[in-house]
Amino acid sequence: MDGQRVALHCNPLTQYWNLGGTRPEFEINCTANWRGYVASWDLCDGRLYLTGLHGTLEGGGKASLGLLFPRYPDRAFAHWFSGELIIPQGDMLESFHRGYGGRWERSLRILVSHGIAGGSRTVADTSSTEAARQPPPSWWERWLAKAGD
Amino acid sequence: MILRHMLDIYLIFGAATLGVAILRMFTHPDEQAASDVLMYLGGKTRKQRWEERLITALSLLFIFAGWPAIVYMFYVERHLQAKEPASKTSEFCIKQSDLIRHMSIAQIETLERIDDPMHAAPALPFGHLNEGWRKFIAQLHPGDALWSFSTNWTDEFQCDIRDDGYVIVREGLIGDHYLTRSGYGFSCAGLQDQPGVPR
Repeated sequence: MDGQRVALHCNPLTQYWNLGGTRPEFEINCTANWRGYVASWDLCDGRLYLTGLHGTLEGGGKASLGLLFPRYPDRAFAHWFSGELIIPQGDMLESFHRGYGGRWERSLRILVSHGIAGGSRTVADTSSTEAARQPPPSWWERWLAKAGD
Repeated sequence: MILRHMLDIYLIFGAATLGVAILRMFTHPDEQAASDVLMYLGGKTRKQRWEERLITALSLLFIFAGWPAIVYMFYVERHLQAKEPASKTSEFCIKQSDLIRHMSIAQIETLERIDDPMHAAPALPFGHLNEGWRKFIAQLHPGDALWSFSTNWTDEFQCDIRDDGYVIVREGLIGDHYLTRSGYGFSCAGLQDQPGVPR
């Protein structure tokens, strides 16, 4: 983005699969990456492109962009994606072993509709996003939290 | 006097025990004899007796103290559940009120055609997802109508999800659908466009 390489805290490829795209079976060989793949994206002239896909397929083959989009092995326009691209910024405030691995000072949210960026905003603290994606605490976790107050 | 006789009796019993133990050592050489003589005869060492008392006392303590604690935990759990707002989970379901526009295939395909200046997607309706669209419209029967829709629902993690797309309406009933957008509500919060409406 703007010639810089940044982290992305969302998975635009998931929407492609949710909308009917064929998902290959990835081998999960690292607990730091339950998705089983790493994707590279390019925001060029306000349009979102998938430019790389790395991972191991079940059975041992290498995943690639050409596997998902045989006619577009270098760059695929992500017209299927609508939502916010979440880019962490500033210092990491907290590190934990779930989600994207921590909480940052702020995040840049780029609103995208059908692959085309339509504005951005900066949100302080990324915890609200993480919290929204976590399952609710169980009764004993709430009980312990209450007992600890 | 009595004490002296008691001492004699004690010594006699002691000698007899020792004799039995020594005899057993010779007749049952595999058995661990020396320190276990008393246990063999049903007796227990002082340490064992204290251990037994301690275990009994702790067991009783945990039983009497533990059961009320478990009952209390169940009470707190019920209390917390009662105070919790009712779950607002809902399932994906397209209702009549979610329908937006009645459209023809040609209208939809014109609207949803992907034209990328870098030619990184097929110049077809729904681009990379064109195959799914073709399979969807292959299900259409004469008299069926296509409508655009947008529906909101809540998943098991209480996340609001917005799904947009096109749906087949057959004899007034909502049938199969084709999704064009599916995402968490918070990430779609700023999106103003609707399916079937020119962007």
